[in-house]
Amino acid sequence: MRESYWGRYWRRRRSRRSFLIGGAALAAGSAGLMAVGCGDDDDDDAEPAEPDEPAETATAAPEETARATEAPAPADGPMPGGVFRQHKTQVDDGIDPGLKVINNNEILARIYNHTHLYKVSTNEFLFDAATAMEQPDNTTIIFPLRPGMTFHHDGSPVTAEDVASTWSRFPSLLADQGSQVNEANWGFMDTITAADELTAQVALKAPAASAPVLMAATSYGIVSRTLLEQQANGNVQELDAGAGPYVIEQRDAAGVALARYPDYYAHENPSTHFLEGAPYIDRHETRIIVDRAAAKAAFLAEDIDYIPGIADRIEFEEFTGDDRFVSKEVASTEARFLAYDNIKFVDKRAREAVSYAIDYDAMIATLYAGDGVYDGPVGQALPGFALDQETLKSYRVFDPQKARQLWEASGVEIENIRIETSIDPRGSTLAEFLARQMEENLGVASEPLIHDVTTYVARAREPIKQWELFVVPYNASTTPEIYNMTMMNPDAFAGVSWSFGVDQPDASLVANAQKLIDLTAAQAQEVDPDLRLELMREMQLFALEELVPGINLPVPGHSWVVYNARMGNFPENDVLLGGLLNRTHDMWVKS
Amino acid sequence: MQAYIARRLIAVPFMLFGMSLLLFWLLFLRPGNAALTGFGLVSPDQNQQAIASLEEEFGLDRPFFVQYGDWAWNALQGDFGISLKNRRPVTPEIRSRLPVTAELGLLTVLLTAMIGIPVGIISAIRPGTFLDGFLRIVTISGISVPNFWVATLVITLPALWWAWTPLWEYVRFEDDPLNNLKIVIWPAVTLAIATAAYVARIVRSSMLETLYSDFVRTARAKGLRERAVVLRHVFRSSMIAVITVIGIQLGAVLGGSVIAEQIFGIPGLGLLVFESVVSIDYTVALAAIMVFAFMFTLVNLAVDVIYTFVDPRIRY
Repeated sequence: MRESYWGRYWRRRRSRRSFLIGGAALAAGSAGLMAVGCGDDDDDDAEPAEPDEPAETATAAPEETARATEAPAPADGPMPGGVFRQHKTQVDDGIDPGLKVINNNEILARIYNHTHLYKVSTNEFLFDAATAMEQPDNTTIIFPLRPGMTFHHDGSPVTAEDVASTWSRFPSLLADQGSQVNEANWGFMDTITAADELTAQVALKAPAASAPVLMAATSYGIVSRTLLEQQANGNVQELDAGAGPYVIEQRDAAGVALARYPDYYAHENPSTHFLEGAPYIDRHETRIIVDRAAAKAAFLAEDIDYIPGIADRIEFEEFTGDDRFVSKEVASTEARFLAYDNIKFVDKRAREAVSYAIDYDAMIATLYAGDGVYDGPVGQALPGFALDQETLKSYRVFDPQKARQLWEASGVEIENIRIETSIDPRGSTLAEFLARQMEENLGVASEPLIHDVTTYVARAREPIKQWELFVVPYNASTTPEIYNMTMMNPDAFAGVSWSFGVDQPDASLVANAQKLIDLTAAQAQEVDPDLRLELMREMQLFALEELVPGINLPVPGHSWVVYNARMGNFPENDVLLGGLLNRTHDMWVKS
Repeated sequence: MQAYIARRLIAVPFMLFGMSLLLFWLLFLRPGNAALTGFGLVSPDQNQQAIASLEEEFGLDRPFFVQYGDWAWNALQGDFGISLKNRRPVTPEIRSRLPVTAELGLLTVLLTAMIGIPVGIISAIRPGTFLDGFLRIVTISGISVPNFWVATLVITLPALWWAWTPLWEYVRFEDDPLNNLKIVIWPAVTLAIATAAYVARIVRSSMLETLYSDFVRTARAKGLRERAVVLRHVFRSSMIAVITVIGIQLGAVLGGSVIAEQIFGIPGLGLLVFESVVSIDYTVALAAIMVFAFMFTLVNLAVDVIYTFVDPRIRY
């Protein structure tokens, strides 16, 4: 067989001289690369490339195009077109709204449509796929659907059957596939049926006061039943099965790009945040930027339009006074919970001792630079439901002498109070502060245990806890049941993570857990707003009085929002609570 | 030579076996895992049911050696399993990310050689001068400053001063080579600062040792030009040390890519290692780290082979 050129080439003996010459050539080449890398970047500020089919994507709704081309809007008014750029820290784990809801909100909220949206700042429901929400009785909710909605993948119409099949999946997705959607978000639903092609009907297990709010969550995005049935694993983890205003153009380890869905439906009765036609913004781009300093740099360089997670006033003030940015101080949406491992604190005196050992005012002064407020079982982010400051203060008294007496009287044999938290700076700083408080005011050795988030979650879920106290910094939510009360609910966090379930061996602990379950259920099922408030107050006072299953620590007095000034109608009051940013259609880009 | 390479290649699987066993064990010891910590909140009873169901699905309820054996057997066939976190196959993910990190590593090594070798030579041929002193300060600073700090400064300072940052949306080399290089050059420079400084130090000390050798004096005595003496005789004799250091530094570059890719948002293997270790996604973390280990093993082998080209006295 004749040997090929390449065979001879590779077998040829190479001299040392040729090797060294080759090396030198390589070095010279790399010098060229350097020169390339240091070239100008004039093109980097340019608008990102248009989608492959600009004519189609730009003509998503005829009236939108008309607005863009024939009647240019004033500089400070709505401006169709443009790109909204944001970032996130991790790649998503999937885009099935019933299965994955972490790191993918900017996708789910835009490629799927939802029956309705809840605007927490004004306490109103805004309708998207549904035209209304009817409640003929306390256990029935009916959604008349909008005609003309079509799915991205095949243009087939969205029907009530799709709504029913989508929402009916929640239990099986959790049981069989480890869904990330909390049971508290859907556990109140009994059956979901299609009364006719465009009417979805939900029967509740019992009256559920927060059901309409919970059903506005991103996880309720409507998935194509046909596409779902075609999947062997029963989910659409990697597929766009939605009928929302945008379609996925790019989704990989570098980020996500969404372009307009050309056949997006019209909203005949537009409301705040939903226009009659398509959303103003043409395109949404989300980059993966893991490092916080890098994200800030990208924001300062105006490569991204919004920087979430402003930690404190000091960071907030870095942006104030710069006319490229809008900086707003908004109502606090933060919460800080200090949980006991309740099985170790069955004696109420031990729980009280810990509470008396904490100098709450010092915490506000040192951790929040004086700008903080007391918090209760229902957070200050929901002023309609929260207890007033005077009431809360009466339950959060600092008295080190009493703390030591109660600790001694309780006979608790804990030599070292381990305070578990995550690497989140809000949690780690707080854990260090609390450890010092325990040592100084309670006279017990204490150490903060700071772990990465996954380990921290795992340590909360372990049946036998390797900590005594657990610090959870979190953001409040749109309903009192979710996150605020979930922290305290024996059927949720408290049962699994704080040893505060009815399955515990101690009778007094079980009694407290059962009482809290009953009180929580009573307020959740009370649909009369005034009566519900009374029940909610009773529930909160019980938790405060008994100090179960932990302590709601003071929270910062404000939260902060910073975004690029080129954004128009940015939903600054709803961006932190309720995640309205990704579903608002009437936000625009000024340039 | 061929027998030597064959012997080394035979040793590679054994090294990888030992390393994978150790890694698997270390990850096994960590509390929780991606599959168990990701699911939503349920009541305590359902929590136990869900944990049992997921453990069964992923085989996490089996003994350590059974889990490891299963993983290793599949890995030998090129199947690294599925991610515990998102149930996506791991092998395609590794395949898509490997070229990104390989490019970053290659570029860093090139920059290391381009910067480190000339600086070392200049420093060596002008010992004790102001220039030598200056370069020594620069190189020691380069070694001392951690690369994550340099990377943060490279990104943050231009943003603060000029509202500009070298942090662009990543594009793959095959899609847009020029823009790709504009993006990758910055993390490569960041990583190359320390490695180039180290190489410069080694080149300097190695050349200084050689400069006063008898054969160098002879070369000068027979009238060779100084440039020829330095480059042809002195530098070549110092190459062994330089190649060794560059080979070892490639390991540091691979490790450094975890940080650099994270800060610069480069979607390579380093970022995947970071994400998977943080989320205790065993299958992804193991696969990615094993690929790193395999690359490092091959680089070491390549270094040994290159020795024979540089120094004719070396025979295996």
